[in-house]
Amino acid sequence: VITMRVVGLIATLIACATAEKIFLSSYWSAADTKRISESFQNVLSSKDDLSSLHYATSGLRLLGQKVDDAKSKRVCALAQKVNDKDADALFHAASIAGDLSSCALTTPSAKTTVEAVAKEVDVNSERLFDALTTADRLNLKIDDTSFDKALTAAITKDASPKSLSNALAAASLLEKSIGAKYVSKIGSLVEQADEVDGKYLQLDGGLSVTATAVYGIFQLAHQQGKAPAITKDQVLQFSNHLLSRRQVFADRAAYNVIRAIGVLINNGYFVPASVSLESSVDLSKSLRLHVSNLFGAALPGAVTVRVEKLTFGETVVDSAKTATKVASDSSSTLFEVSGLAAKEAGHYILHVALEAADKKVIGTSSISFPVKATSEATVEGLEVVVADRDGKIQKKQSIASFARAPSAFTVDSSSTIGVSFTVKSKDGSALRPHQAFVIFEHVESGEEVVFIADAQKTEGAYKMDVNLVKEGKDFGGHSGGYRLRLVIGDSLIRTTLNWIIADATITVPAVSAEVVRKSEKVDYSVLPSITHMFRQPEKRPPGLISDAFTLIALAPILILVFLWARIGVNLSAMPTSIYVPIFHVGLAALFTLYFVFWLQLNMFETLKYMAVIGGVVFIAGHRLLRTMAEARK
Amino acid sequence: IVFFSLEMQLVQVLQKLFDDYVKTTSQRLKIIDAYMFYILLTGIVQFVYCVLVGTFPFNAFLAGFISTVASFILAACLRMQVNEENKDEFNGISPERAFADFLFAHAVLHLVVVNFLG
Repeated sequence: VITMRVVGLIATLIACATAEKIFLSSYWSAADTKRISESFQNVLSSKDDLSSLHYATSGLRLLGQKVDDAKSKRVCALAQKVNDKDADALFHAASIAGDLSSCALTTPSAKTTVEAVAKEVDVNSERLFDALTTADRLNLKIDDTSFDKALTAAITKDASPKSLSNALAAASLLEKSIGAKYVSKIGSLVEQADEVDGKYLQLDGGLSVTATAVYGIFQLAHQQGKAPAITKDQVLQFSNHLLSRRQVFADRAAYNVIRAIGVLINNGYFVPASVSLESSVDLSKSLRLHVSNLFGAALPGAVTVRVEKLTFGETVVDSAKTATKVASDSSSTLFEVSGLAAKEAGHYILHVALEAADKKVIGTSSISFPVKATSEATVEGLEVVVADRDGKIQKKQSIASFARAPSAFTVDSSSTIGVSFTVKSKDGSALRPHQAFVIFEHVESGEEVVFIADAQKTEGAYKMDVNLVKEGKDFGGHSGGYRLRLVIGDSLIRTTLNWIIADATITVPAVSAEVVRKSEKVDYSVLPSITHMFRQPEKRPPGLISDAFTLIALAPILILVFLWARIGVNLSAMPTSIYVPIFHVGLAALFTLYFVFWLQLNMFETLKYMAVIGGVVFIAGHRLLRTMAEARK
Repeated sequence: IVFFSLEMQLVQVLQKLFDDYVKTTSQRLKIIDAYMFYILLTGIVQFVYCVLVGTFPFNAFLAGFISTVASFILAACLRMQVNEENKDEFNGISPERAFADFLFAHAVLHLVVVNFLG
């Protein structure tokens, strides 16, 4: 017994030492394939730029999707038109040609272009990787040493995650001995990753950088035949990050994610597993688990799925059950386990462990799912009591389980209605449901008034009281026929109860119509249209009066002439001088000018004429007055 | 004389005032006074019209009314300046000069009035 316990202890210690921190519960599903394939196919029929077409064809090839002949011909024609002196365009075209069946490029200067990239000043590792990929696709023999030199220079200059990830991918395309120099960079790259929530690992620079990093690390490891300097947990956390972002729509990012997941499925060192709960979490039915690789397909080698334990809080309720393969499943990914001993209703945690024959499989421990055991509820001792204002009971009815009250209640606006009941589970223990309501449903209008039943001292006993005098206005003035419904619900109750317990005719106090302020009223009818009212001219007096007054205003001139005649205007004293008529005519002309100004001229013209006439009048008047002054002297 | 009522006395005083005026005022001044009386009548007529029918158009009413008021004032100034009794006050301004000023002021006044009349 003691040896067995020691062995058990050692086994647990070993298990703890190799247990991973997290497990993956998502995977790239058929729905994801469908979604991104549709997007890629769309690109192939509608876009013309080589880079989008490249990612679409490569993505579809990795997903194993066919491209129909028409699209293939169209895209191939665009790729064949490439200018083979442009390294970027050549990279995309070469990849497209490689992805499509029977598409060949004629690129005489391809080799020169590719080798020229290595000779560029301060070239970055991304361009070098693209160039090496071009050479690989077009089967060109290029000078690895110059690329090696350029690559080393690039990562010495820039050791950012983007640069290193592309460098590792590029190194995997060089000769094995040259690639060996870059193996140490795997560690420097992984060091720069940021952990999020203990569950995700990501690199600066976006999703494509993380995806390319994963791809590059495993490609280089494959080339060298040595395990990469990355821990199981780090691989799982990187995978978790990529899976969390798998619903990306951008062509390049989607392609990079697919490529990275692809390398995580069939590399020689780490194959992450994904375990998810496919059935409902209710323990009363059998639980179904989906166990697969990141593409939703079966893991390599034989896999055994065991339920390590089922815990209820701190206590272990059940342990060591093996899940069986679902017979009807052709993909070999579904496992079922049933008959777990969960007697008490409540929330449990299911701890699962995988045993994979293939040692590459990781993410096989620390797997747990929250599950629950539910019960069925019944209601006993349901009683409806209607009492009047003084508390005297008018009517009392006990209603059998799930039955309806035999006779309807009549309630007036000063009574109280009381409903009391006890909730029990089918096996007899009392329940405390989360929701225990009595709903009054007005038959005519459909309005519902909800009252919460209060828990009483006895476990599972509930009572609801409605005093129509105090709470009558909750009914919104709707009097008439009502249906009373009892609603019991909880996450641990398998079937919610929605039970019509009685009919009632309730008279509720009238509620005065709510006055809605005009500014708050919502009126969707057509409002009267607004027509612009032009400014009305002001009221003027009738023409007759204004004409009459014009004459009256001019009349005093006659009085003046008469008075002057009476006084005796001395015209004979006028000197005989040429200036006399000039002066008088000039003056008359001046006032005539004013009259014309009133009728049609503007100020500028008037001033112009006035300058002339005024000058004449001034000179004539001046001379005339001087003559008169001298004559007087 | 004691038996005359107040109205009769008022009439007698006014009559005497008028007779004195006719006798003592020079002809030149009487001409100007007649002119001023005419201007006054014109102003009153315009004001009565405005009271009766309202001030629209206001600018026209103002132009007309101010024309009469300003003309009255200019005539009053002319009268003061040509009055021989005031010769000492207006030393250096001959009647001709006063009349020339009167004419010039009127020219400017009427230009402004016609402009404001609209």
